Amino acid sequence: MSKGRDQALIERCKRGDRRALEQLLGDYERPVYNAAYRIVGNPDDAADVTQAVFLKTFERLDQYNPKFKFFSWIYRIAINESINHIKRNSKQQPLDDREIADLHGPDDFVRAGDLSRCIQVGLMSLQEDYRTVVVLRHFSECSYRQISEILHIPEKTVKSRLYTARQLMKDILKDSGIF
Amino acid sequence: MLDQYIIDLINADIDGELGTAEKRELKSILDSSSEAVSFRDELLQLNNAIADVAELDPPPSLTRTILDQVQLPARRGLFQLPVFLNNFNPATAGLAFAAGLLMAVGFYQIASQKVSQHDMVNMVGTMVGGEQIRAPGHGNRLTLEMDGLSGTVALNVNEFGQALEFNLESKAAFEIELDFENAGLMLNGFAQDDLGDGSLIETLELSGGTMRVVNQGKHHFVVFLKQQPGTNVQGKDIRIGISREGERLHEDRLGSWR
Repeated sequence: MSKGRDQALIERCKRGDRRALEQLLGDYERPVYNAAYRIVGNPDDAADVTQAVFLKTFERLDQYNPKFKFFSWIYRIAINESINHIKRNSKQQPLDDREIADLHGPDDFVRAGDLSRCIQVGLMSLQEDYRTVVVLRHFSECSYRQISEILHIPEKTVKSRLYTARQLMKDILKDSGIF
Repeated sequence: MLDQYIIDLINADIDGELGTAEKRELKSILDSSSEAVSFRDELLQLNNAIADVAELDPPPSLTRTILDQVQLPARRGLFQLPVFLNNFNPATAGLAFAAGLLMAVGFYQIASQKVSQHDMVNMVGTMVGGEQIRAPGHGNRLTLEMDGLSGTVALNVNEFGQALEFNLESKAAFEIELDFENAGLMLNGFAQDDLGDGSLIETLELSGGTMRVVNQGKHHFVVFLKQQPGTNVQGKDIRIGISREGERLHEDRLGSWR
């Protein structure tokens, strides 16, 4: 996913080259889907979000500014689309206290699934701002700078949100007996 | 209670954002503060727990669903017939060449119809006199040997113009870009040999004085060029660029004046 490769593929997409579209989709479908899943919390919604992200991305290709990385642009669309999806479907809001309380103790966590499930429960209990930075840093492996570009916030804010988010995640996992 | 500066250092270290000097500083802090070590260990534990979470595979149908829904702009850049024909003077090339040329244009208008080997031979033979186009010493030639792509590009010259003859075999899709405008040349025709394996060039775009071909499989095609009126080709080269997946792999020049 180099900048030069992305730019070349985008130019070809603008000329109607569907093979370039397939290549961009091949590069970004999986990471976008995974980021969306970690934010919206279920696979079906993540698939809907991913679909919407690519439709918007290719509808708006003419608005893409090549001064910025395509990576940052599509992730920004993905984050916004995920958050909008949650807002549109209030039932998908972060797990409420009742659901988190249902998962007390390591045995409950084991019953609920595996570590992945526990982490997801922790993530869903965070506010969207905090969840987003954790997802971009830990699941999408973005640097502070990339997160700053994607979310249009200063790096200092990225660091402080990440710090707070991690403290909250640690507390949740400690309370649940995981740590 | 840890100082915020130390907390930031530890977080940045976990995130791989520390430089050498800061790493050294953090090490000395960790050597002298059990509280800092404990904080760092907890963060590492969280970091490792998240790192152990496996990526999910998107549903297998998702790619197809997206591809079916995304609308790209209509493909443009295919032979621009009016421009092409405005520059074409059948009288200089003969009626048979005109027929061949129109057949080539027609092929790219409908895209799926093949030009047979017979058409190709007729077109080249009528236009430039068959043997003469391949006569050694009248042009120059590139041999391409790179990962996944091999073949030759030969520039041949005769009294009617120039012909760039491509014989290529590639495993993946390669883009070949030709800039002939800056060499004082203009397009005068195109023909592709049907090698009988069903692989035809899928993309051929002409924009101004450049041409872009996407080649995959085994291909033999010829790009016919002629001198732009009032220009001098001496000392000017046709530029050829070969790219794969947007990355430029090779650039070269061919000049009929050499």
